[in-house]
Amino acid sequence: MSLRGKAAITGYGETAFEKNSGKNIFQLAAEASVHAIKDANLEKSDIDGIITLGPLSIDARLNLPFAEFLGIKATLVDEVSVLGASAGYALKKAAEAIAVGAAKNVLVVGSDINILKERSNEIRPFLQDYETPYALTPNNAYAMAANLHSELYGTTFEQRAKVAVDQRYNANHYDGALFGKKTMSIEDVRNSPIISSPFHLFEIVSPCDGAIAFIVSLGEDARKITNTPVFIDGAGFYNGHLTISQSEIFTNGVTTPIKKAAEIAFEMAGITTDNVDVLGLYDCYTIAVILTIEDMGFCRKGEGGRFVQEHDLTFKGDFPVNTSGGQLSVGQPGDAGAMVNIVEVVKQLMGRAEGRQVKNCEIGVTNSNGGYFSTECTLVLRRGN
Amino acid sequence: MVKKAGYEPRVEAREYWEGLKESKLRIQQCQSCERYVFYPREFCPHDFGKLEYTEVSGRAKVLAHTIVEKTAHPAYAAHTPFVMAVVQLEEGPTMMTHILDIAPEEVRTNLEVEITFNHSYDLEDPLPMFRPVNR
Ligand SMILES: [Zn+2]
Repeated sequence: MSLRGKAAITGYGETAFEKNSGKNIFQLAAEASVHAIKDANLEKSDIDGIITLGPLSIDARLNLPFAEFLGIKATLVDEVSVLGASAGYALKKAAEAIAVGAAKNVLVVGSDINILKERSNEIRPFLQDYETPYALTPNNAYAMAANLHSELYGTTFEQRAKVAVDQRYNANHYDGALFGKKTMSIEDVRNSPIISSPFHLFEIVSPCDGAIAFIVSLGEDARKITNTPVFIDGAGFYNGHLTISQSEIFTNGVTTPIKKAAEIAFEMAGITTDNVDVLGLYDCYTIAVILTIEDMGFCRKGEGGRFVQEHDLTFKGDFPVNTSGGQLSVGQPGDAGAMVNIVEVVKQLMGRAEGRQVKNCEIGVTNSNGGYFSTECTLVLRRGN
Repeated sequence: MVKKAGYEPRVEAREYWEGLKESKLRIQQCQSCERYVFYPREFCPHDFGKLEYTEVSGRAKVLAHTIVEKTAHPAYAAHTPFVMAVVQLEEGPTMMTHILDIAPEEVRTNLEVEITFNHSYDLEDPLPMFRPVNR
């Protein structure tokens, strides 16, 4: 079943993104949620569904505690837990639930605390048995993918660094970015220490506290709720593996499950890469953006490095990606990080990106990535006129 | 000493861990499709066939690697830089490991390696590591 026209984002809300907000995960979630409900001009009683994103900072499901904490009784109270892909996946689930009549206005909220301060002790089966004993962290897994991509296709440091530098330029025009006041050059990235080859520190996201919430509403009601609904026209998810050592990406030319997720989403929405005006691509590391561009089909496999070198990724450019700075510059609140990429595309499509506004923005594409290119969720978003 | 992180006993993996204590690499093989399987499962992930443990060669090739310059892991923090890699066993399955006994910058994809249990890491339980062959 296609989701086209069935559900639309009618409002969003955000907290500040800070290294240490002094607030807990429920306070942050509540702040973003209240902003989102007000932004959609809805009442508390209009919200009949809640979907939360599984957090990294505490050993708890958020859905039921948060529904009660916020004071909402609903016909849909769910939590998604597909790692960093949870943001896109939760919006997909919200649209699907609305399409079958399970709810009319779903609050989707992602909230997390800086994992350097607080980290859950949740058991992570198989990962902690066969990989963590070798000291594997995400840094190393993504570094292996970046190394192999360089070996196979000649992708360079400068190409990867340009992703971080273009995004920083975007962040310099966004007040909400953790690193918005700091400029950054290719040389700055080169001079930052190598953490796990080939990654320098400034190619790696920085964890923070923060929350972002969306309201997803029934498509046929959306234009009554807001003048600027953003329709979820396509949504695709694919789970390739969990642990990096079981991944196929090292034997298939570094092709990630994004390929399949994007194919599903693009086909559902009835678009091709030529139709896309703005992108919000998961950017835990520079290489993630390059691989996403390839696997979505904007260029051929292996040409992503050259593609980012030849295109301007800033909001002023010919291929605007992560126009608020992405997670690399805005910050990463745990597994809610992809909300950063998504909310900026929503702002662009609503015409609310202020000084960063891309002209004539009609179709936006987002990708949420979890684990080690393990879980992928692509959304095609369309401005409702 | 650093304890390995498995909090839930992996009953299906007991023979793997016992093998390591004898410096042997014992992994599962499917009795129907004959493919080798790692990490240990309850059923063959290819066709749900019955799995039996068998000792394998310990020879592998590097699929991808990174030189780790910084780690918070207590067993390895004093050993940086070291090479972390995913290797593919001669019998097919892939696994996480470290590549030892080689200058880190010399490691490449497809480097032929063999299992080793000789290392200076302070580990409570033995873990398979790999080193280049013919050196
Ligand atoms: Zn089998």
